Amino acid sequence: MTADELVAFAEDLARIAAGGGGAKALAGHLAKRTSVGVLVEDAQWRHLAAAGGTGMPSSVQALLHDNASPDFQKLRNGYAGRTVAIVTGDTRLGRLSIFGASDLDKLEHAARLTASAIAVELARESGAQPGRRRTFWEQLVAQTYNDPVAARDDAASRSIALATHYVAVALEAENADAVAFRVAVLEAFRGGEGDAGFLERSGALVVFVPASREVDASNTRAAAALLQRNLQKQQLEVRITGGVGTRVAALSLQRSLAEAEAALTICRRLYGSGRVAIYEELGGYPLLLSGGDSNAMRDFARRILAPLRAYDEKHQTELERTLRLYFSVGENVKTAAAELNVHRHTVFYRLRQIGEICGCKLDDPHDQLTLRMAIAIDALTA
Amino acid sequence: MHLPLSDSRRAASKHEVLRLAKDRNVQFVRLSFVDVLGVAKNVSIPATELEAALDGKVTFDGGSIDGFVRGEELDMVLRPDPSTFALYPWSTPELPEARLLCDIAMPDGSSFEGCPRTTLKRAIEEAKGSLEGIAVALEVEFYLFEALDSEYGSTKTADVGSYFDFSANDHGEDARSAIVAALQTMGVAVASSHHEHGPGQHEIDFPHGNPLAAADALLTLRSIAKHVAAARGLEATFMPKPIEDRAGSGLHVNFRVSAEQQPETLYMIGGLLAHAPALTAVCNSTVNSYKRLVNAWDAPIYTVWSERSANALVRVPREQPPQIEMRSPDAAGNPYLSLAVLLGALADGVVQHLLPGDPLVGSTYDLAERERHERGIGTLPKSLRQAITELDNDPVVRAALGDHIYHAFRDAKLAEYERYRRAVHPWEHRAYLRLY
Repeated sequence: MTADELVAFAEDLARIAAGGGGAKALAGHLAKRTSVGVLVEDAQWRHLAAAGGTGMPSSVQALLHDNASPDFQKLRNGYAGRTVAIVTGDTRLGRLSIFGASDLDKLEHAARLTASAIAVELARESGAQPGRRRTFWEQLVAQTYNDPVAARDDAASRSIALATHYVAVALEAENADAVAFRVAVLEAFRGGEGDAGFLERSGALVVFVPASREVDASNTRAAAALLQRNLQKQQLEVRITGGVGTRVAALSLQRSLAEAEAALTICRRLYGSGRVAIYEELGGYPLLLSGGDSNAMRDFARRILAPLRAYDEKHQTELERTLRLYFSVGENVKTAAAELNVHRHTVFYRLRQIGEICGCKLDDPHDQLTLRMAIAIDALTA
Repeated sequence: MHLPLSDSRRAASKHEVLRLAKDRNVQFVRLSFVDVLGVAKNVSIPATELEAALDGKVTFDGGSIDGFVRGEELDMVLRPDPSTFALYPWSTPELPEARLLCDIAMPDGSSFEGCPRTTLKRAIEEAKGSLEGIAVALEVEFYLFEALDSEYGSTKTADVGSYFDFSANDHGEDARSAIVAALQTMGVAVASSHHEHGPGQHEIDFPHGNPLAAADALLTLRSIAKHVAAARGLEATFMPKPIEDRAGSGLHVNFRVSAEQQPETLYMIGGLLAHAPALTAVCNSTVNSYKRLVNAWDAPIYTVWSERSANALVRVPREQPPQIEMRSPDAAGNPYLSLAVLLGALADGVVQHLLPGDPLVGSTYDLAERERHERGIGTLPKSLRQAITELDNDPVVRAALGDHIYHAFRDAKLAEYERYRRAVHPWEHRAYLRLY
């Protein structure tokens, strides 16, 4: 780029940011102007945005020579890419990486300018820039309110009917007409009583779906799983990736949001685009992503094993023991049956029951990892 | 002597019907149709009038039939469906007799909106956009009792069998086999049959097919079963709950979803659950139906779905292709209207993207009120009167019936409920006569 072109490029970035465009829009502009693939990740290596190009890695974490360096640097293993840190002051907010062009070094200035613009946006989103009036939903996820009544009153003053519970859904869309996409999403997530909320956050559209009853949450999960197909049926040429958090009380919306964003990150890394992942169905992956402390691990193990334990207690069965034994003997049904002193058909029957009660498939590697992790953590923390 | 008319040789046109009738020397043809309540009616014509009948020139007095009671609908026209031409299995070489199922048309030949069979055809047509390739199978339960000389029939049976039992001494087993043989002779395919829970209770299952053929098959079964049973000193009844402390007789309606629509199965389940209370008025259309819908004998009572629970309203086993089993209907109603409203509910689920919540694990009878609230589970109506109120409030189910049938059905059922409400039942005598 010439000096004049760089100035025009910087002005475009400013215009996009002033118009409310976030990291995704800024990365998209860089990709469009330079015909490269652009990947933006936050400091915890969570996916923030991707634009242009194909064949990009899901993360550059393992491809860095020096994560501490803010320099524009090459990637390891001969990967055709460059990366630059997104920083504001001394705070490292993430990384912007570019891929695909034959002479990527000539794009250093454009990449740095884009990283700077994204840094401003990320700092603003994290509340580092005072003076900007935050929406009700931003305040709610920032845990500004001390009690539900205060939240409900403030919501009512803004003509928002706040539900008692919500489920957060984070969605990224490629090639989307923003308005049509938002309309389709609003239609898909009708939820229960109360108003839905929206946030643009780190390049994703976040929807807070009212879920006063558990059925509203389960329908939100089902609607999310069907969203890609329904968008296609509406002839919306858009490819989505998303995550759905758990049902929480309105004041705890931050937790559901964090879960939705974690589910989105895991979804992109495990499956690529075109799917929506449900946090509750990701088993041990959120724990692996966050590297949780011992309390989080214990909670995870309890949560996964709780349905089996409740069933065993109510029906005087030994499904949990059967599962542990099944894993400990290398999934050998014959040996497990001998150890349990039952017929092997009984073991098969119990394994089917376990799958139904836990809502998982014992022959699915992801589900099996979750159960094995829960059993291992339970043994370590008991 | 049986004069078989296999499924593969079903007539498809007026000319084929005339040729078959001539080949078999048919002497009489019964032109069958149903009233709004699902009761089979027929007009018998000599074979010499068959061609005129097939040209839609046979009329009947519509004013005397339930649900057709508007003055201007006298002299309705019967429009036979050639594909339903079948010889009755009890025909003799001397007097072969056949039947044709008919739609009812206006004197000017236009469709009559009070015709249940036409209503189902319309529902099938309307559902084409949202339920492409859906197939229906029916599981029909009924009792065979000993025929005694009593005013209202009997509930006596020497049978002591239960689910899937075989008893060599049971006349019911023989009668059921004869019913199946008769159906097949008439070109109605049967998938299987077996003894059911109750002593004297049986089940006949039809394979998946188009909804109109399924309703025709049930209508045929009801008349054949009564005829075959009577010839054996038995009485067949599709009454939903003939004996208080025995299993009731249901009609499980099984929808097989096409592979293309598999992802939309949840919407279809959502449609059935959302409209279940109003569907009940049509699919459980007698006051007796509600004595079956109690928390016993695996009868459904809540609007809940499950993959395995035997007493859920909707059961969707983990099978490919997906099959959605609606378990509340009974076979005493009008099969054409039942299938029409069920298709309407399924289609509405797909169009409106109605979702059903998570499937239930375990028995629905164990559900506490709070859990039902959290899961969004409703209760099926407990009486015909409640069900009619639900029907009044459900525009989707009403639209599936059409205005004419909705009003005719509603008036007839309200009158039936009122007669029942005013009657003094034996239970009341037992409970109150000496007590007060």
